[in-house]
Amino acid sequence: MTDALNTWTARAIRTMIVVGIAVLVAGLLLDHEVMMWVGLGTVIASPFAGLLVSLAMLIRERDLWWAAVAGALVALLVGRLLLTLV
Amino acid sequence: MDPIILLGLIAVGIGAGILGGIFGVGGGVIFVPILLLVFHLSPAEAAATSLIGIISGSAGASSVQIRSGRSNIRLGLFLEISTAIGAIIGAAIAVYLDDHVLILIFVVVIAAMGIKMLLDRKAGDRSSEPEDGRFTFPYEDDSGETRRFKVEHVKGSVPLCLGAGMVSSITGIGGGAIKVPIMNMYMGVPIKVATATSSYMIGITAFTGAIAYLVSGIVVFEYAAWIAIGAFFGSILGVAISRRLDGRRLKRYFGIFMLTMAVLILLQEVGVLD
Repeated sequence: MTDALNTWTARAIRTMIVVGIAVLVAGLLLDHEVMMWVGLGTVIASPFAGLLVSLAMLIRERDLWWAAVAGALVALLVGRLLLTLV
Repeated sequence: MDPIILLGLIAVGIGAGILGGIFGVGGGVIFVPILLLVFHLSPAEAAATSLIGIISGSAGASSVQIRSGRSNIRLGLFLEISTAIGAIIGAAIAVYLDDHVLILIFVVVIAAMGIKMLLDRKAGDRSSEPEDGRFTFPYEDDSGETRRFKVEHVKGSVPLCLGAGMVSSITGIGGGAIKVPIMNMYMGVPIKVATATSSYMIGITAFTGAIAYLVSGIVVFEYAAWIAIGAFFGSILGVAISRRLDGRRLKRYFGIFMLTMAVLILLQEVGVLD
């Protein structure tokens, strides 16, 4: 049922969210604002990290149609982020 | 921080995370009013904290659902493109629209979808084996057997997801609540795949908004942190619960959840919950 795309995407999301939560907890315990900022940033970035890993896996598997879909989505999100921040 | 507030934030996070893990929704409709009314955050702070809770719940649930193969990454990526474009259009035209009218339309739509899901006896599973194609995917049915489903109305899903993205961008609610019924009832995606794929998608949808809030300094760190921690563990619990539900029951519960959501949003809109 699961292939490399699923395995690596899940691994990327889980690593990011677990690290983010761990840094957050440490930041809360130490009352350290920078650690909380980094922790929250890591939590927020976890779906995007999963998306980038999906894109990389699709390119690696030469599943080019789906890689183009993932690439278009990455471009859209980056564009939207830049529009929001600028 | 007051321990009661701390426990309250974790409890809200866990509750929304459980619902997100079961139904594939973000939980913004739960987070925002509670953060406004109980914890007295400003609307912008509540929206920022809610988005972070949604992402944490989505990441927790999807990391489990993707690994088990229940969440369909390819389908999620495809639908997310039109949703993201819809969100951009929605943000651009939001100033010209009356969001109260849109919210009322949204309430009618999700109530109608909820009733249809309650009455529909199928879980979205097709009995015949579909032919191979770009939009034919494997999934595990309730008995644990690997079967395949073919996504129907692929082209028709594009404007629907565009509309879903626009509505959720303008009103701030409803991403998952609209996408799950579209996937299940219109596109023939099995309900468990639809909810799991939606869990994956909502994190990506919320990503840009949350980054913008974090950079602009609107986020109240302690509140967002405890909500995120609660939502993460709640979502994993929600996924475990959803595994014990068969497709038909999950669909029925989703219908009840949508009707409850419609009533809550309506009460909020007419000022009863203020």
